[in-house]
Amino acid sequence: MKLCISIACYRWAFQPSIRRDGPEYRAGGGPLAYLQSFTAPPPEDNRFFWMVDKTAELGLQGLYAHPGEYVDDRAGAEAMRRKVEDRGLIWNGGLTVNMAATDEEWESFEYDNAVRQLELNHWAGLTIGTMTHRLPNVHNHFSTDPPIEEQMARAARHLPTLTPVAEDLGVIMAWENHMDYRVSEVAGVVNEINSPWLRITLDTSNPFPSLEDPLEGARLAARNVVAVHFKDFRAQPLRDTWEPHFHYSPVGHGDSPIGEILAVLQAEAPDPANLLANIEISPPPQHDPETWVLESKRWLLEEQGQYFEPHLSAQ
Amino acid sequence: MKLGLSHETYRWVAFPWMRSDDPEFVGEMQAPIYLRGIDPPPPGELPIDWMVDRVAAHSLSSLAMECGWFQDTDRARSFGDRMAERRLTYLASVSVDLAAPPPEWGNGSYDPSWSSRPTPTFDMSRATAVRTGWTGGTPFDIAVRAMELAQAAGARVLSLVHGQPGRPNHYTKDPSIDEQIDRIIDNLGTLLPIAEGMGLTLATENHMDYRCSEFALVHQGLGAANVRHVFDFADSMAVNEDPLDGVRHVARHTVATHLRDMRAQPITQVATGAFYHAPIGHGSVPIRAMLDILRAEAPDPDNLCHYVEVVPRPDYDTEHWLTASLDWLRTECADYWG
Repeated sequence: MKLCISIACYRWAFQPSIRRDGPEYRAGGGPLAYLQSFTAPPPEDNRFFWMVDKTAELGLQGLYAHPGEYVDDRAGAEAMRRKVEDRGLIWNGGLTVNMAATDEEWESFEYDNAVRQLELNHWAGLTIGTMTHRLPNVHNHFSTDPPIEEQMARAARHLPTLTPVAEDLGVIMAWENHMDYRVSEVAGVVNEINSPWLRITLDTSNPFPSLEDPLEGARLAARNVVAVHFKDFRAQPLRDTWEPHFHYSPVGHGDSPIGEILAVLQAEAPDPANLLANIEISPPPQHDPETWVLESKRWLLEEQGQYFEPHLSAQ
Repeated sequence: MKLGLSHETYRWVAFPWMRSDDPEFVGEMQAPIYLRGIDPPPPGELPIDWMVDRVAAHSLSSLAMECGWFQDTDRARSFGDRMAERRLTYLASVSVDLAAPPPEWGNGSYDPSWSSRPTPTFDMSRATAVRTGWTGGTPFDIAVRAMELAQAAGARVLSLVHGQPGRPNHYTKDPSIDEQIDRIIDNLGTLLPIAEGMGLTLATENHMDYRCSEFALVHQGLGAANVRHVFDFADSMAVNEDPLDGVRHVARHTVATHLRDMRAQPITQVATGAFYHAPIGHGSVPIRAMLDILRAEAPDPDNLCHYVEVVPRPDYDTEHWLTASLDWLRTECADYWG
């Protein structure tokens, strides 16, 4: 597997709408950061370029980011490509689509929007684009209008219209369980469509908030998994309020069965040697994400090193 | 099927150690309450009679309550008499560490005539929002004492509630979940003959500790007729189990329920998802589908009592939530109640 990092690890540090030194975050009353081991780029800097340099500095093999979040034209995408290539890194791209769009929404906006994002991925030189659901707070496993069965029926009807485009552009769409749908639901549609251009990005902790066992999810998805997001949660099932909580933890320090999931992926994923394995931890905003990233990398390489390339250093 | 009241509904209103109007408690842990639709009981007392009045006020037929609150057998008997006069029934519960290792669990022998046997008591000065007030004796001793109190109070079923921070659960790894299940089977096995002698049915209860699929293994391991299950509609969510899957695992053992609802927000800005209490019918728990399964598979569905357990955060008006929940149940689920 290729050990990479998701740009989301640093989202509280530099994502414009939520960066913790920004006015929106401060207005929300969140705690400010303490004792950081790195300096975030100023708001006017190119945060994607910063993340590319950071990835190389961390000794990781690549990064995950959606080109459409940073540029909207071919020249911009190609500039991103050159930056990644200059550092000798791998890039896991992405796109976002409303999986539960009505036919009218699909035809009037979603299809064209998805095609545009696939083009950006292509111009950026990407072959795998992790595909997330655009409206997870509106349509998800628990929402009832329309019910989940209809949401998945819509996805199964609409996604095949994109697979020929993906094939033409050479970009595999890898649908991620993104705190919206269960892996069983994602895998059901992917299996039904049965196209080599529609695969799965498996997130190892997102099954928790949709009430699915992460290991069971991995087993259902494994034969289609081309990318993975290593995320770990610590479960706190019983608190004084009787409302269970899940907390982020460095990879290997939580309750997601990461080791067992890795074994399943190694055995069943279509190309485990080239599987894009992204660390994706996002600690509470006041914490230092870099400390967590480095500890996650150490744990993966020291405790699960058999799945990764031997030249990688845990330190 | 029938509707009852779980005393936990009023945990923030009436439990002496966690009242939302207690300045000391509020200062330590929680936000102050804003609006309150019910006057709390007098402070400093275990509100047993007050709970019975709340059952009647909401035209319910039964009360689920911790039997340690009786503290002695006479008080339990007196409570049982008052419940019988009002034609109300009682489901007893006790908090006990079911996964205790053998030396901690207790020796498993019981003779009520022994003068030197331990007599654990419920000390409310020791109770907290997450800890039982039981003190003295082993978990076995506590369970046996609870059986005596439950029997005196006229209960037919005693629910053994394991879930508590600091006790093993689905996520803890030492011992493994398989070892925990084996311990529960062994420990419960020491209680069953005693319960049988008292005419009591013991029940497990999923309480934010184990999956129902794990309790099903306990029932399979025991294979006894006098061990059943009290099913909580929402607690599966705390252990990463779909509540609908949960009820399928235990419906055929279920003799009572805690009827609750929770709202799932799978994606949040901090990206961990969140689960919040909800008035019944306003959350993400598929209540009607679960009632259908219980009506079809429970051992005695006509007499299956669903104890409404509406437990909002302490700054919410519990009475408002309870009333809204009962209104929803009596209108949207009217066909289930006898």
